[in-house]
Amino acid sequence: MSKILIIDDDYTIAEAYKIAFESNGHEVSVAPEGKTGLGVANSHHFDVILLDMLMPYMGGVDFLVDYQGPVKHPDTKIIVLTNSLVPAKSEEKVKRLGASDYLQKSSLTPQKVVGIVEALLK
Amino acid sequence: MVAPFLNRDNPEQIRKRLLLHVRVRWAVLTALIGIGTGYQLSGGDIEINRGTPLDIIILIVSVNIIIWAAVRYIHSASILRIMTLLQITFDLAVFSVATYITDGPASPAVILYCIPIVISSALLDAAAVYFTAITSTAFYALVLWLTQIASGRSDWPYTYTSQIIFFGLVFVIMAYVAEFLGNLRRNEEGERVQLEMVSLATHQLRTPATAVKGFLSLLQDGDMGKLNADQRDFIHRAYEENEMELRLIGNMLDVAHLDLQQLNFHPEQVDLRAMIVSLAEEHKLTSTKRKQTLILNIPESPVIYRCDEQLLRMAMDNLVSNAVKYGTPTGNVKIGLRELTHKIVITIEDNGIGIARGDQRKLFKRFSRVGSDSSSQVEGAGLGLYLVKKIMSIHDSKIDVVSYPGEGSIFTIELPKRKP
Repeated sequence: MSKILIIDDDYTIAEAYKIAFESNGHEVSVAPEGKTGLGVANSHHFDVILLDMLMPYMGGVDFLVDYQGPVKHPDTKIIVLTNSLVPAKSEEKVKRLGASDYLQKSSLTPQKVVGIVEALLK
Repeated sequence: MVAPFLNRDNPEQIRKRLLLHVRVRWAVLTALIGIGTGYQLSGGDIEINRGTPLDIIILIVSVNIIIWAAVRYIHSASILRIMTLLQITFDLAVFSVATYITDGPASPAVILYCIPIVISSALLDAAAVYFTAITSTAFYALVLWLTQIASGRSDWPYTYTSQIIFFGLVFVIMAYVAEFLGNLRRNEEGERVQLEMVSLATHQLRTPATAVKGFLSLLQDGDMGKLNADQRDFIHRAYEENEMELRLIGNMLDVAHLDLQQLNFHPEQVDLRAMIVSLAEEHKLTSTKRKQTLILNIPESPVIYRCDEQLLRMAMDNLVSNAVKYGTPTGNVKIGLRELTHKIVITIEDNGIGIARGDQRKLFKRFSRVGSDSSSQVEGAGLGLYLVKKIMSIHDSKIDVVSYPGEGSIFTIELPKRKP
């Protein structure tokens, strides 16, 4: 069982991911936007953080810049999710900031995201 | 064909316009020499007070050659933009020299005065240029009147009136040009805003469709309990319909993204060989599923070409994806790359269902779907080849298709080589 944090301002999508992860035996926390997510991510340990790219107040990139995970929780993996196009330059940028992967939500089902996360944790 | 307005960030388009301008100047020069010679041969006399027509002909020919040579070898959009202003300045200088040596209707100083107005017309809005036109004409009339008073003369020569009318007309034309350019700039801005709106709206459409996909897939995967056969079938149908909607939204986003990017064309040195190898890798999984063989006919060494990598990759990706999608299962999909003296040729070939001759004409139009029964089973919005055609036109390149129903299709891209 892994501890997953979903940071997404879209409640329905976050809920779908939560159901998928929980049905595969993982423990899930959900943060409705970047700033709340940052507080939770810095103060608790998670195996994987699923981070939405476009969110009000604090987007994915700002989160990655402010996140203290590399010092506090070096083994936490971050997967960035977006509903927009994934330009190569943005992918390079989020990976440079510490993300393990950059995925397009609309091309994946929640179960596929679970599969990707489980493969990453192996 | 010349595009309706100039994309100021696209050096190739600016270069084309400048070369067209050079050609127009050659035509005007030839016409003037022809008319002048004909006039003199017929016994007429051109009044030359200073210098000779030969001076101005030598000036135009030499400057035209310099501009033509420079434009061919310049790749920077900003330098080409400066060249555009220099061209206008040069044309006005030529006009003023011509006026000077023939003692035309206005003095060279008047014509040369137009130069800053032309330059400012590219920067100012039309209202400001009209204001400048009116005040400059009034100022010129005032100067002429003061000159008369200073010389102690009370008469008002007829030539002064004609000079003021001429001067005013020149400025009104300049203002009109500025208004025209201003409108084009506003259209460009309007188009950008419109595209951004489309992009935003499409993105907003994608969010709920993604959520629907998520929940339907959870039901389909049995996360919410076991389903009976009918429930499974209905959910599967809903899932597939939603997938089609997501693909349509994706294509619309691509079109909006492309149109936005067209206004920011970023050419760079790209290895086309490496691009094709990486695209083939990406499509290998789908083609293997369809038991197709992906064959690459590409050179051993890199083929470097100056283009917008992201755009060209998008075009190639569409063509390869179509070849895999419409190609016969167990058939071949071939991607070829050849470097010739004046061009680079890329071919994407499949031995699939092919396209009827009548359908080939509408193939590259927006939302076009060809009428083959077998192809209608393959979903799509008819935007892919429209995107490809658009990308090719941005690169001043050509795309052709040779296809026979039941035998397959060959799409050929021709990228012209440019001098480095």
